[in-house]
Order: sequence, then C-alpha cells, then structure tokens
Amino acid sequence: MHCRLPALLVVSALLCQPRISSAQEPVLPPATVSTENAPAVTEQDFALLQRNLQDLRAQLATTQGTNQKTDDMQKRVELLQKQIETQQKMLELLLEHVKKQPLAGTPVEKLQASVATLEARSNQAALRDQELGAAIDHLVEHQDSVERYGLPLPAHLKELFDPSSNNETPLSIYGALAFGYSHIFGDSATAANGAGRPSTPGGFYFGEFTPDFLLKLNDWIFLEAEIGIGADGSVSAGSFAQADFFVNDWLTIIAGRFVAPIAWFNERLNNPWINKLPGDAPGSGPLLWQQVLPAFSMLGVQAQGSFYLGCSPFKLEYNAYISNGLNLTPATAGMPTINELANLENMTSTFSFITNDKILGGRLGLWWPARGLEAGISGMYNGDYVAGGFEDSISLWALDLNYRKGNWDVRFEYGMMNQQVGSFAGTPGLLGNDIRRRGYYGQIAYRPWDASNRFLQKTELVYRYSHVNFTGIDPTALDLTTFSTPMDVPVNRQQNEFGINHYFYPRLVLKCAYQVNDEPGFHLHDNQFISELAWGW
Amino acid sequence: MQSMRNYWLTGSILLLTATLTAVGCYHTPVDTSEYATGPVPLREPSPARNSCCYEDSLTGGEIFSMYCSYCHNAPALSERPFSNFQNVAAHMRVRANLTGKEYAKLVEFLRRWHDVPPPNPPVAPSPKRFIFSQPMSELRNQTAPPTPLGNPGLAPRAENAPGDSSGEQPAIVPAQATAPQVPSQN
Repeated sequence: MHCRLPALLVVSALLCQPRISSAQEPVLPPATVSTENAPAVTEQDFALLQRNLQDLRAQLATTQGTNQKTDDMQKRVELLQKQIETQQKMLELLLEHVKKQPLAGTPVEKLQASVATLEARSNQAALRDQELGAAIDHLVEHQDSVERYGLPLPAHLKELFDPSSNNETPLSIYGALAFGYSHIFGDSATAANGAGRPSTPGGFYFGEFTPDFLLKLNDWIFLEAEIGIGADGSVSAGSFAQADFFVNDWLTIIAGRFVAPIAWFNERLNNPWINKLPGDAPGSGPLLWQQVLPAFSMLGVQAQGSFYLGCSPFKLEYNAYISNGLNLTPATAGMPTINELANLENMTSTFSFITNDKILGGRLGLWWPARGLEAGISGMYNGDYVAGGFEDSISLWALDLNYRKGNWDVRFEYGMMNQQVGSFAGTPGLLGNDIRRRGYYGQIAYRPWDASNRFLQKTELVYRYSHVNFTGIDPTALDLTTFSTPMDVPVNRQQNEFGINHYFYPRLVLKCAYQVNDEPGFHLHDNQFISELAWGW
Repeated sequence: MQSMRNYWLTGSILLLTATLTAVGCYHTPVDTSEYATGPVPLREPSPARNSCCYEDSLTGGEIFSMYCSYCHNAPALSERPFSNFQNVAAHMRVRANLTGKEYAKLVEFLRRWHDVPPPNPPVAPSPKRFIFSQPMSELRNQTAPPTPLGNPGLAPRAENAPGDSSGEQPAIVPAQATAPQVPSQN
C-alpha cells in the first residue's frame, strides 16, 4: 500500500494544479499535458485504486470486529476512514478526468489517424494537380493550334491569310514621287561653236508621280499596272500595265505593256528612288539611254524566267518578247526630216503601230548572286519603223555588267543601235544609209554602311562617266530648237557626273549632282546642276 | 514542199507539247510549316531541305539580301503588312527574274518575319509554380500569410491556435491570392 502512495499523490497534485491563462502562454490540450508531463492515468491505475479501496475497507472491518475499545485502534480507524474518503474523492476525480479526455487511445493511434488524414489530402491534391495539368495542356494546345492554323475566321475572311493563296490579295499600292531643281550653266549664245542654242533657264521641275497597283489573283496570276503623272502634269499610262502568268518555277508569261528588258538600267534602275543620280530632270538620264538605247515600254507578249545551272551557284536568266515596235510618223508623210529621224524619244510610243512588223528580241543574263556579279547581253530587231511602207529597220544590242557587294555599287552598260535610213537618202543632214549610235557608261557608288557615324552611313557618293558617238548625222544640220534640252541633241558627247546622296530612310533620298558635258567640235555649253528629292512609297 | 513544211510544223508543235508535258507546270509551294522552316528559320535552312544544290541551300533571308539589295535599299519589313509584301514579292519575281523556289523562300521569309513575336515577350509562369486552392473545407477560410521570398510555394507554419489540435498542418494559400498572371498579347 505504501509503495502506491507516491503515485497517487502525484496524481492528486496534478489534478489540483491551477490552469494557466491562455493569455499568458499557449495552452496545450489536456491530453497532451497528461501524456507528456505526468505519469499516464490508465485503467490499470484505476483498477489498482479500487483494489486499494477494497483492502482498506477490509482492514477497517477487521479492526472494528477485534477491538473497538482500544484508543489506538480508534485512531487507526479514523485514519482509515479519512484515507477511504480521500480514495473516494480521488476516484471521482479520476472518473471526471477520464470523461474529459478528448481522444481515446494511445499516441500511436493518434499518429496513425493524422497520417491517414494527410494521406487523403495528398491524394486529393494529386488529383487536382492532374486536372490542372490537363487544363494547362489543353490551353497550350489550343494556343498552338491558333498560331498554326489561325483564328477560326469565316471562310471568305480566312482565305486572305491562307498560305495557299487561293484568293486574291488585297490591292497594294506602291509608287514613286520625285521633284527637284535643275539649272543648266553656260552661255547659250556662244554654244554650238558660236551658232547658239535655245536658252534654258533653271527652275524647279516636277519629276513624276507614279502609283503602282499590284494585285495577286492567286499563285499563278499576278496583275500590275502603273499610272504616270509626268513632268507636264498630264496623266498617262505608266511604264507597265501587265498580267503575269507564272507557268512554272522557271517560266513566266507576260502579256500587256511591260518595260523593255534591254540591258539593265531600263528594267531595274530606272526609278527615281533607285537611280543613284537624278534621272527625272530634263536631260538628266544616262546618255546611253537618251541617245542610243530607247528607255521605253513594249506592248506585246514576253516569256521570261531563270534557273540555276545544275547545282552550281550560277543562274541563267532569259527574256524573249514580241511587241509593237518603235515607230515614226513624219509630219510630212513619207518625208521625215533629219530632226525626226535623229530624235529617238519621239519613236518610243508602242501604243501605235504603223506596219505589220514587230519587235523581236531577248536578253540572256548570267548571275553569280553570292558574289554580287551579273553580266547580260541583249538584242532586239525592230522591223519597218517609218509610216508609209518604207523598208527600213532598227536593230540594237547591248551589254551590261553589274557588281554590287558591301559598300560598293558598280554598273557598266554598252549599247549600239543601227537605224536604217536608206529610203530617205538625200535628206539634208543624213550621211549615208544608216544612223549608227554607240555609247556606254560606267557608274560607281560608295556608301559607307559600316561607318560609325549615322550621317555618313546614310550618305552616298556617286560618279558616272558616259560617252556617246554618232555616225550618219551631220550635227550642224540639226535644228536645236526641236530638242527639249541640249543633252537630247544627238552629237558626240562625253559626260562626267558627280553626285552625293543622303537617304533619310531607305526609300527617301535627296540627290545632288553636277554634270560636266563636253561635245567635241560642237560645244553646247551645257553643264548642269540638279537636285532631286525622290521618294519610293 | 508544202507537205514538208507541214511535217516540220507538226513536229515542232508535238516537240513543244512533249517538252512542256515532261517539264510540267510545277510551282514550288510556299511552305510555312515548322519542319520546313527549320529550327532557326531566319538563318538556317531546314534539314528537310538539306541538299547539295546551291539554290536549295539558300534561305529566304539570303535571297532577300542578295536580290532585293542588288538594285535598291531594302525597305523596312515592318512598314507594310504581309499582304502587301505578297504582292510586291510577286512584282519583284517578275522584275528581278527570280526562280519559283527563290520566290517561295522569299515569301516564307517575309511571312515568318511578320510572325515573329515581340522582342521581349512577357515570361509566362511555369506550371510548376502554380499554387492551388485549398481542397480542405475546414481550411478554406484561412487568411493567406505573406509569402516568404525565395520560396513562393510554401507558406510559414501557422501558430497553434488555442484548443486547435490541427496546428501541425501547413497552411495552404488559397488560389485566388496568388493566381498566375496571364501573359498579355501585346
């Protein structure tokens, strides 16, 4: 009995301990306190207390029965009664305490319950992860589908963005605008070896406004046309109005009005924002293209294309065409003057035709694009060109060489034209049966694309040397007033032209140039300053 | 003599017809698929187009710089929508005598260029960083504690509430408190 007493005292002490306010420190659950800071009160302890109580009652009965009159025994009985009362109270307290315990079972069982709860939660979280992952995959796939195949637009609208191009594209309008100032220096009165020439005052000029209309019907048919507003403000057909039929990778058939594929300049550089020297001012084009080769457009049919030679880096391009020809209708029927025959510009309208003869011609070009090299040769035969049934023809050939790489841009073109005039022998100013024109020019341009200074990056220096030579024309017999500028007069001439350009952006350029013209033995005194603003839009 | 001429004419027509039939009217299609454009479509050809032929090895960007810049300054590609470049590419196919393959590659390049996203797109959060909403009903009303730096997915342990036996559970942040930011399509 005495060995159990300390444990009971500890239990009673714990039961009588005052509770700590929750405001002072966190209050732990009772179960946690009883299991961690004091001996555990279990059913065994409870049973032990009950046995002790029964032992005490047995001892009391025994004592009362043997000697009730003894004082010591009396005291012992009282003591036992007090112990019994104390035990009774302890039992009641223990019963209350057991009733107040929130969880039954051992700490291991509680731990198992907690683990089970956490496991259920993790399973739920995993399921949610899977659902969210599937949702994200769905969103990503949907976005990918939109990027690949476009938005779910209506069919007629979706075709506009369809790579297969099974519908015509929206009409695109590109074009060029150019205007500037030109002034021809020199004493006109003492020009032409004292004979004089018409005075040419300087002033602003309108170069051109030429909107281009482009429309792609499908992968096989392309339509393009240009309207031109010229220097005199009149609206006329532009340089092209054509339908292109892409037959296959290397063959395109062109029908309509197209730029004559002669040499290089006419088809590819004759645009104010592309040409590196002013070209829209009166008399400012390359001499070769004013006096020898006609810068004109044809009306007919052309086959063109290109292909690489095997697997080599060389590309061959070709053009072959049939068109209405150069033509001349003299002011006096059947009697053209030397001025009419010598003025090439007046023959270039291919809208009209005066004979059954046509232009036949073509061009072959060989490219080495990786090196920036190109060379081409052109030929053209023009049948009868004077109205009235005269058997005189025009033929020409031209050579072009081009180099474009890095900061350098180099062009060279040579041309020769033979114009038969045998039917008009005896016309004043004609020397022989043919008018033969020869000429060439070389142009070099440098633009420091790699310069650190941004102003220099956009600045370009240009130099061009031109030379033309004529046989069969007596220049002294020409009426200089019939030519719009001194530079249009067909006389032997050499020309040095210096230019400086500044590009405000890739297709807006301000060009300033100075031409030094020299006509050996004729001297027209026609040096020229030109400034031109050209915008390709 | 007349019959001989007719033979020549008939033979020429047959020869021309046979030649065109043999060669066909094949057009190189404009292929904008991912595989055809390659892993770095603006710089490298696709493995699908790996060939010894020079023309096949060209990229659209090379064609653009070789041919367009040969005569004029290359325009800014952003100045016009792609539909305009479709037209002007066809125009230049005629004017610069491009082959069908070169034209197709050029159009693919222009289309690809216009499909390039903005240079600095918003960075989309990784799905691993998503924080899901609280699935336990008894914890849904908990307020979200401040997220510690460097460990956005875990919240600090909550202090034990008086009489609360679930204080050992990690606090879970409701989804609406840290919803993933949807990247804008600017």
